[in-house]
Amino acid sequence: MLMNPDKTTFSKLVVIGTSWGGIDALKALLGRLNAPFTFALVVVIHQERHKKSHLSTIFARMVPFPVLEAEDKQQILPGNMYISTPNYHLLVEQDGTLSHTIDSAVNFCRPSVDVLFQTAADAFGDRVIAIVLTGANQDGAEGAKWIQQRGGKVYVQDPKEAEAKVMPLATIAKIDVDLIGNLDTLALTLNNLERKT
Amino acid sequence: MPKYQNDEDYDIHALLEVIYLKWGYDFRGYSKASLTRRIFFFLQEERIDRIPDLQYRIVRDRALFSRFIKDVTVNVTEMFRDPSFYASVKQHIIAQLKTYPHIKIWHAGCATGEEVYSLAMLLDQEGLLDRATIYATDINRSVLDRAKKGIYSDSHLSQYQQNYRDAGLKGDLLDYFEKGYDHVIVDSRLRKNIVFTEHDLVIDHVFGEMQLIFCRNVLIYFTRALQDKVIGLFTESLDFGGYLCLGIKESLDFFNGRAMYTAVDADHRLFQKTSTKG
Ligand SMILES: C[S@@+](CC[C@H](N)C(=O)[O-])C[C@H]1O[C@@H](n2cnc3c(N)ncnc32)[C@H](O)[C@@H]1O
Repeated sequence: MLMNPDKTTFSKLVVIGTSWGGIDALKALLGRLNAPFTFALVVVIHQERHKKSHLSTIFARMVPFPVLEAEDKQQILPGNMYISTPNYHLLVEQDGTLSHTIDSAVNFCRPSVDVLFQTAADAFGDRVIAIVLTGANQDGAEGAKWIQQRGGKVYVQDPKEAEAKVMPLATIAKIDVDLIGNLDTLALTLNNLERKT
Repeated sequence: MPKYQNDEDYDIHALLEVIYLKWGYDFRGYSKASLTRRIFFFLQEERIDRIPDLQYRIVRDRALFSRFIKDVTVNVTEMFRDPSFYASVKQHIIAQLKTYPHIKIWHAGCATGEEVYSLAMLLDQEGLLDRATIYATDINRSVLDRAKKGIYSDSHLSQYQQNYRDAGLKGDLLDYFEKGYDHVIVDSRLRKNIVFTEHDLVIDHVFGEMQLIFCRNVLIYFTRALQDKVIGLFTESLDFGGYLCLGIKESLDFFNGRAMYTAVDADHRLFQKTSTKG
């Protein structure tokens, strides 16, 4: 199948991990993005396990770009955002699709940010940008390390601004992160990606 | 463009080829991200440094290969996973099952059996258990052995009891179990119509005509091409009017015989085979 690479492949794969306070942080961050963009967003957010998630519908109403709950083996397209499903780990495949596993919790979390970050790094190396937002546990720090080791970048929400500091602090403690900034700065950095590419 | 993204990718493909040649198990159509993750856990567990070393040893060591099957498959399961799914089965499927004098049910990828016993409890409450023959299959022999024993640690008991109630069953989960010191044992009444047996969805064939097939959280481990093949196998096994129940992240949307099915409850992934033409 021949496809126009500009339309079907993302420039960067932006993976976001968050938990406690994550919905508000995401609302603020997403609301500041200039759409359409050429990168793709994949988000793991910790949620209650048995609740049917309506997050994708909520976000989709708020922002001018497509927000979807990740479907299994779905192709990641530029300009779109994909959100995890409660109780399933979300993984990135080398062919640019998303997949799921119901394997044991990691850091007591399913979905786990580490699992998303590690598989994204394995699949797309230096094309990956990780963003760690507010959260009350350490999930994501280990995965952020993998991302840097494979040439990707790691941005962290300023713990001073984050509703829960544990998650950003854990990543900052583990690695020398590429950027610590508030949500305005993070949004600006993502918007500026468009300029360079 | 090179066929393999990097050396590690090549090593994994080579390992899967060799396993297929030597042991006849075919993991080549599995989704790579989860499988790779499991293979690296396995290397750690076995203290093997590199995939090529594993490849060398696995063709010479049957016991190592058995442990490979045991460890690279993901066997995590629970009683009444997604309670509202069971409520939906009760609401949409049970009535038709009652019209058959005898029903055959297949749980494909049953892992340690929690799902099988969950449905058996529901069937019991609907007066269907005595009319049912239940085939519970998996590729992993060691989980089947545990499923057969029907002994479960009580560490998740309160969660399971909650799931049981949320699924809308009467009484208490413990009505079906005997309580041990730190475990529970399934009542023999639930087990008598269940046959646990090895079956590999990738290479084995149809073995009977079913009125109900459960295959939950197995297809997520397969690429779309393999999903298509396995759903084809289910379609062949299903009686006209029979039901196929998938996991919450699985669908028939990309199956080329989609037109043979009607979604009975799309949210809970309940499908009925309503046509024999795709
Ligand atoms: C995550 S468990 C699902 C258990 C249960 N159905 C549930 O949803 O809770 C997946 C199961 O599929 C089995 N499996 C994987 N590949 C298989 C194959 N080719 N044939 C049969 N079973 C397979 C695994 O051994 C594992 O026990």
